[in-house]
Amino acid sequence: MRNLESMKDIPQTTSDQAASWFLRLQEETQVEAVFVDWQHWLTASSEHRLAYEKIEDVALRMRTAPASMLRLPSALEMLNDDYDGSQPIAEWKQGLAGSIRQRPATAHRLRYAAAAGLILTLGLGSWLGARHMNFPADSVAVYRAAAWQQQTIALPDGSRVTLDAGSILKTRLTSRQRLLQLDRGEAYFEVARDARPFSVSAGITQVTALGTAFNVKLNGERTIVAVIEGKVSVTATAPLAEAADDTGAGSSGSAAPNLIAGLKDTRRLSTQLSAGEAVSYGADSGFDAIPSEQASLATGWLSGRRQYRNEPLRNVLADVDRYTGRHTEITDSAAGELKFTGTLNLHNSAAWLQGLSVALPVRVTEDDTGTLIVEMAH
Amino acid sequence: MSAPESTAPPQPAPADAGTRIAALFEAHNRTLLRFLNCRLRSPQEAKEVAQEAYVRLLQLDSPGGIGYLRAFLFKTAANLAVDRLKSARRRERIDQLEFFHEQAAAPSPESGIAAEQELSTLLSIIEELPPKCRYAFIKHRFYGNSLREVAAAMNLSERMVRLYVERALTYCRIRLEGVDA
Repeated sequence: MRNLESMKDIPQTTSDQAASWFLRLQEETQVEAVFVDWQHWLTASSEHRLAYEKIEDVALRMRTAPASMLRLPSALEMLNDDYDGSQPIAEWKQGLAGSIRQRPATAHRLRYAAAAGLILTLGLGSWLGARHMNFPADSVAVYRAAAWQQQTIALPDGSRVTLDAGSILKTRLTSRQRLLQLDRGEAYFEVARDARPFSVSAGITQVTALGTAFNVKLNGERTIVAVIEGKVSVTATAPLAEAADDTGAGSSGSAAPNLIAGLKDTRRLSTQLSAGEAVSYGADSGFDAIPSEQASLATGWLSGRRQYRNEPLRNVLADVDRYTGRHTEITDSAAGELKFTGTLNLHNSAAWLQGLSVALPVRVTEDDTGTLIVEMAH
Repeated sequence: MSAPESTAPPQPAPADAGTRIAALFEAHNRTLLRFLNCRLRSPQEAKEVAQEAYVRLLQLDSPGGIGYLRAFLFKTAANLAVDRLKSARRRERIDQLEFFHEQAAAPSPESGIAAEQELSTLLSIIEELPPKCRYAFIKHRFYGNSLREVAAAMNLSERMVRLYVERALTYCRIRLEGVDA
């Protein structure tokens, strides 16, 4: 097929494709088929055309800089350059910034190695509805703490985040707001006082603060928020009614009518928390206050000791997976519902798994793929 | 609805070829001029070359389908632009650096502080590029070296140089978007 040759090597995003076509067509000798293919691509969608025109504009605009004013890199600079083009430049630069930022390992607890790093930056324009990246005022990053390791992150605004092992956090700081998104696990936030609101999205919950310290945990279907200092507001970002439909009740609107009633006007639900208070939110039952003696356990993980009281085993095992980097499968749902009370230590969670059958009536085995299977022991 | 309007027959009668080419030209004139302007860096020359390409298109013995015509239009225009650049270089006997410098500096519509600010923005964006990427970008986009020439100078594959320049263009786009916002 004639398309194959010229389409080979064309990268993924529309914008990259536009840049690729642009360069291809700037070359002096081109066969007709290339122009045919280009026209196919160009007329395939208005998005393609716009992306192409954008690149044309950028190329023309850049060209207004006189060549004589540009500094060519020295041979030594080029020799020491390890950028290989495999990722976008902005992403690569953020990676460098991340590795510099991680240098001071403030390891006053355990060995909180800073090995986990910034993985991805930019190209995140779509999350949280950001249409334009306000470079360089915007600072966007994704942090992934490796298994076994907690990571402390110093954000550019002066806030500190401690990310539990195996957790994932996205951050986006703009001139007007500080937006964060917890995608997995748990994190403790010490928020620097600043005029910009500090918001953390976690599952179907959003926590907003100005200057305070709080803990957010994704716990199965629920999100748990505990406040250590100051005040925060917690808002449900997916209303109960919709979430109830998602669970497949079928009869839309009939699920939990007493709870939905309160949502009819706003489609939102929110609550304020002060220091020492904690709440959990889930689509099934909305906000549940957590008793204060239990709320005080919320940050135990920061010192490597995670304490549970009557926690469904499936939630505990989700934490264990983050710590070990492995996958545990609960093959029988009754086992997942068993209640666990006790302690999980970051550094002995593998041994903890082996000892689980002592504490609870379950059997833990490993299959060929390395997945751990947990089932009821009969 | 008896005759399908949107689908042109693949091999039309020569009689209506002229009208179809005129329509094609009208539809793509803007895109064509932009395309040529990128190559020639002169709106006036771009117009001249576009017109020449149009004439060539009309002289075709057997114009094919619309897709083919479109491709032919751009290819012809691209070739004409290359010829023009080559003869311009020969005629004026100026080295590439000065040639591009002059072309770039001449049509600056802005003046004073705004232009100075714009220039410093562009320079700092280019300065931010990783060294090898910056070398390839400057050589290819500002000194007019072909990808092959740059590849030879850097002792890299042409494919790699192309990737560097693509990445640089995309980076410039993102940065300029940020500046404009």
